[in-house]
Amino acid sequence: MEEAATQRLVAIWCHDWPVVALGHPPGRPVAVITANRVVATSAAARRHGVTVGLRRREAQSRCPHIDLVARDIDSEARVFDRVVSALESVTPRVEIVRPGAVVFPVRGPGRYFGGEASVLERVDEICRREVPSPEVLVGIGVADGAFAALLAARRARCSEPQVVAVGSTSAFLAPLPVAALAATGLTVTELAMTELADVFVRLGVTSLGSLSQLRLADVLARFGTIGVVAHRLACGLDAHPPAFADPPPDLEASCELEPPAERVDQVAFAAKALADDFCEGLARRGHACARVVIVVETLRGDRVERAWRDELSLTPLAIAQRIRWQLDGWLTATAGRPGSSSQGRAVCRITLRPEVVTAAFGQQQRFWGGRTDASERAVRAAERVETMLGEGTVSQPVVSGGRAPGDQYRLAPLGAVVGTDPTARTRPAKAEVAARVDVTLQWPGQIPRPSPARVWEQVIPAQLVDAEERAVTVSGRGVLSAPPARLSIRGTPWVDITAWAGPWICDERWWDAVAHRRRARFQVVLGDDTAHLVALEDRRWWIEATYD
Amino acid sequence: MFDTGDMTALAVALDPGAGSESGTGRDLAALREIVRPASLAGEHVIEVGDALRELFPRGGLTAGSVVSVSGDGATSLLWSLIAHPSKAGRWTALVGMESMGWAAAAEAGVDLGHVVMVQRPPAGRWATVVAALIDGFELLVVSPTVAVRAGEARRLTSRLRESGAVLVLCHRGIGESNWPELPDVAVSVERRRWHGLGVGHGHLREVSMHLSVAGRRGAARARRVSLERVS
Repeated sequence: MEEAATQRLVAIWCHDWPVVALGHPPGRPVAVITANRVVATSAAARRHGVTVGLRRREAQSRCPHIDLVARDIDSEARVFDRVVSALESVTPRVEIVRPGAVVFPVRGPGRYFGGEASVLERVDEICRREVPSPEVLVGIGVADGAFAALLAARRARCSEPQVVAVGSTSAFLAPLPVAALAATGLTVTELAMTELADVFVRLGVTSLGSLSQLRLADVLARFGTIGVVAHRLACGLDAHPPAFADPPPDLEASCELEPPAERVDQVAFAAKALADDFCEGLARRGHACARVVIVVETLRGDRVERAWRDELSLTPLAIAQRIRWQLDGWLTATAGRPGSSSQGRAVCRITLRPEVVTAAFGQQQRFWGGRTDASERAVRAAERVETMLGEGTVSQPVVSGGRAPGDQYRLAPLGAVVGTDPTARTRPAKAEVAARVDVTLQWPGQIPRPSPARVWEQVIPAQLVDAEERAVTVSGRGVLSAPPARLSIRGTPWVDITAWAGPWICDERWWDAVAHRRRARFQVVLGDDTAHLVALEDRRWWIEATYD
Repeated sequence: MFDTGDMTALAVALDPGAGSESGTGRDLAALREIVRPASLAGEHVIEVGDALRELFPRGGLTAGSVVSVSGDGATSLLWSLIAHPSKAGRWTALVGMESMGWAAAAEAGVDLGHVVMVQRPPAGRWATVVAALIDGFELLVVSPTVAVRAGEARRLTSRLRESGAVLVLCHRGIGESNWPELPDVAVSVERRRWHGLGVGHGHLREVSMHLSVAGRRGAARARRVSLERVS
């Protein structure tokens, strides 16, 4: 069966949007952290070797004076709303992928403005006008399909849009690394895509071209539905073939807000309930939504429509979050306008209209005994709290595997532990993708059990001296200069060390000049019967963990 | 002393017969929970496993109560406390607790699939978040260094009693707790000794803790139990 050709889209990618949107000057090293990992860095931070995906402690050790800030995705969305509103003068069909990235079809505007090139010129001018600071890098790309267009936008130089000629999308995608699958922000479950990319690399499939050459049936058998999505993206197709050309109107869901809401937090529960209803309506017919239009109507009669796009289908939590962002953007934009009374601005109705409906997949099989009432209640309560506090604030510890005491487990955001079905919380969805990690395997350089009960997210500086008050050092061969005698934690009074052992040397990535780390760890018991794991790195002592 | 492979187990030093439950015993206990006839929340007890059963007047955590765990070693004690309930399928939420060592939790027997971590809520929303979690979780672990108003605390405790959840306050010392009321049961680590580390050799192997228990409503007597953590 012939598939409809993928649309030709223009994509706009604002680099480092989480950093830029919060207003940090680009010359300073700043990293945005969520769930203890770096998700965005400023250019200055990257020069120091801090990249996305590092843990907070690693980032600090690479750049001690770096500014670490918590991610504020709601502010990112709010600031980005200005750019989106401005882009609507070029085309009404702007689709937001995530704060900082949009796509829109180029055919309509191309015909209106006389050619792709003039559309790109306008877009470039608008972006430069609307972004918070002139040093923000905005990349513009044109290609067939959202995935290729966003990748092209990421690679574009400033003011030089990257245009992928019609039909040459697969040639453009082929040499790119598999890690690009997770680089577009197109997928809600980015974590799952990153892990899948890791598995591909370990299996020897390193580029999108080699991935596209594998047989689809083999990929489906080995990796399941997420593998199929990755394969389709690598071939330059849309992640899912749409089920309808025009979704029937009864798939829409709307809710009236009584009393009309003037603040975003007033709609939080209503938005979640609406999103739940909407997704359930789709799921009952075996559908999922990849692009949704959120229509917000006010008392005065204003209508704000925005399209939100995600290739792996939008979960109720994601939709609720986007409703809040749209509302936030609208209320912020109209707050300053003269002549707008607060009564007129209040939102009275929200409608969700699916634009691209795909066949649902990966709906969980209810394993017998896998889901109990207690699990349902707990998951619902956790989701409610996540709606209150924001994305990524609720997480679960999952097995990760590693050397350092904090590496064996990491916190995975609640939505990322599951497959695409938001109500399935059973483990197998994730286990499909990642190779099974066995925690009992010994990693060289690991400290013997029992593990410390507290592992400090921000390592605590300390000083370790020997009996003659000299700082204790460890030579390149792991030889201690003198037995440690006293410890001072962050400037507090010195405490005697009554027992110690070590060093456990850990020499990681000696072949990589940037990522090379040498650490020597010691266990110490102090005079007050507290036990710590202290580490020496770069001639500095840190308390890495405490046996509480 | 039973040693189930790599798992660390708390064994009561005074009772050598106690050890980790066998597989069938655990299944039966879970089945008993499911078919248990409906009872008042006040009578319902969340079992804590053999090692710590002696600490509590009813052999476990009374549903709807507030328990505090304090002292040096409070975190290990916390993991041992929630190990048995988590394996039995009870969900635990930790609110605003940072820098937790999950490997230690797994070694203590906690089923991490039933544990959820919530980031510290902004000031002023703490009580709302905890109240929302009480509906879904049976064990809530918080750090009571947050300033809580007496009215909010009373509302939270009444919600606890309604839903049968247990609030665990985990902190290092008595002075750090801002919880306005006395907890129903207060377990504190009085003394602790690490074994296995010499001067320049060995590695930390075992810890022995002396716990003291105090509280009201039936837990008024201070009790002392000696616990050994075996690896």
